[in-house]
Amino acid sequence: MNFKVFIPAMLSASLKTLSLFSLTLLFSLPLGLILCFARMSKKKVLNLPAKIYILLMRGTPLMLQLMFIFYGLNPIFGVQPPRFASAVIAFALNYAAYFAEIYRSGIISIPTGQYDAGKVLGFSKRKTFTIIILPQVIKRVLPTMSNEFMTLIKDTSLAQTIVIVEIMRTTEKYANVYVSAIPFGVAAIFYLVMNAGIGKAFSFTEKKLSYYK
Amino acid sequence: MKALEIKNLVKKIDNIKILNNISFSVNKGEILTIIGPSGSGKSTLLRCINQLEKIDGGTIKINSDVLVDTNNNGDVMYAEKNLRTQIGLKVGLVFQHFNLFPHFSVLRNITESQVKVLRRSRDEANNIAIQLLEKMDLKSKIDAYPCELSGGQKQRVAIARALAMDPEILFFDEPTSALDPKLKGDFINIIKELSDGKMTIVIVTHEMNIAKSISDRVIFMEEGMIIEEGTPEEVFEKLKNERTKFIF
Ligand SMILES: Nc1ncnc2c1ncn2[C@@H]1O[C@H](COP(=O)(O)OP(=O)(O)OP(=O)(O)O)[C@@H](O)[C@H]1O
Ligand SMILES: [Mg+2]
Repeated sequence: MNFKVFIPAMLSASLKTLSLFSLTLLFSLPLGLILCFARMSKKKVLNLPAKIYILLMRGTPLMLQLMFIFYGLNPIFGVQPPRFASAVIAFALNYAAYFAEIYRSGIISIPTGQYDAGKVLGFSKRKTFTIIILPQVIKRVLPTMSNEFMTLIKDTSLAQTIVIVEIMRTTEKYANVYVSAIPFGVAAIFYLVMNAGIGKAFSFTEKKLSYYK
Repeated sequence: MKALEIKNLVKKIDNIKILNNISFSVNKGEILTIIGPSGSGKSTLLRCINQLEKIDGGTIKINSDVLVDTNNNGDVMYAEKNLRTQIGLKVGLVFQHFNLFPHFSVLRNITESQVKVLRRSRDEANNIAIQLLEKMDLKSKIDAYPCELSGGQKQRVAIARALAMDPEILFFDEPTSALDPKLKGDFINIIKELSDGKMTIVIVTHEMNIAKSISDRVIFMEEGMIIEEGTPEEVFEKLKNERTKFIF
């Protein structure tokens, strides 16, 4: 096995994995919040589409959604969308649905007394949400979010199905070239290191926010 | 002068009249206590006055500003939004469970609404908060978080938070339900001090002693209606005669 070739290839693949991961979060975290508001709205024109969207996204495989966006849209628009952009779009649309539900669980867990106190002190609805509710929601959803972030790291391996050269695709290639199982072990270490980092970042943040209950 | 005037207030939940034709008024500087059995609608009444619930009929006037009125056709008409907010700032409410903001320090609990709602500067808000905390004998807890406070301390922070907004009427929902006898005494002293400062105070309570020792007037509610009204002596005398079955 030639590690001088394999390791640099894995590092550049990790970069792909990490940029897919970060871009997905960049778009899906805010999108999820908007979706959550729609889902929680009393207006049916908002909450019904949101419910259907969330059902579709959580109810069908991410791989299917990915392929639909990359291959399926081709005949409709007549152009092949860029691979990486397709992956980011598919991942962001999918994860937004999960994040919406996570936000929602956090929001409904905040006692109504907090809203009452905000109202009585004269805070507008918007200010009550941003100043009083949201910070508490963030603290409450951190453990669930950490799960979701780790799952996303692993889910990026699905991007290989539309030929994005991320960690799994690189691993398979070298496992074939060298007829060796070592690349799989190395890949496992790469994923573990990334997720250990995520775990660390979350426990750090949780500790930072542990000054109140 | 009347600080609060309520006429024929009706509040329905699921078409059941939780409050049924409530009328009373509170004079400026007066201490009124509202007593009555569990479920008689006392908290709901406070929530209606503090705009946490919408009413289904009647009139609420605060300081001669009409918050809500009902015409002869039964249409309930609330003041427009700006005026509603203005009126809301004239009343303060200390919740039964205090509802402090757990993620803010004691200081920030008292300053945040001053800064974000009344647009006071941080410095000014801090000074006001520090004065109030001194008054409440809580200066040492200024940087503590609500989870680090005892029930009595939480209550005093909640009172300070409400007072920081300069309300003209202060409402208390079951303020002594979680306090031991000594803290009850402390609470009574705080109320007396506020009353000396001409604050108008409305207290909902289960406790006869509290009602007796501090109120100028007492209202007794049952099943969403006012049954008795008068000085503490008058009301308790009547209750003793007519409602021996009722145990506080
Ligand atoms: N959100 C609600 N949904 C349905 N019923 C309600 C709601 N809030 C209050 N009620 C009903 O309204 C009535 C009055 O409730 P309220 O809390 O005002 O009573 P209370 O006099 O404050 O009682 P307590 O002394 O136990 O605090 C009760 O019968 C209660 O069940
Ligand atoms: Mg009550």
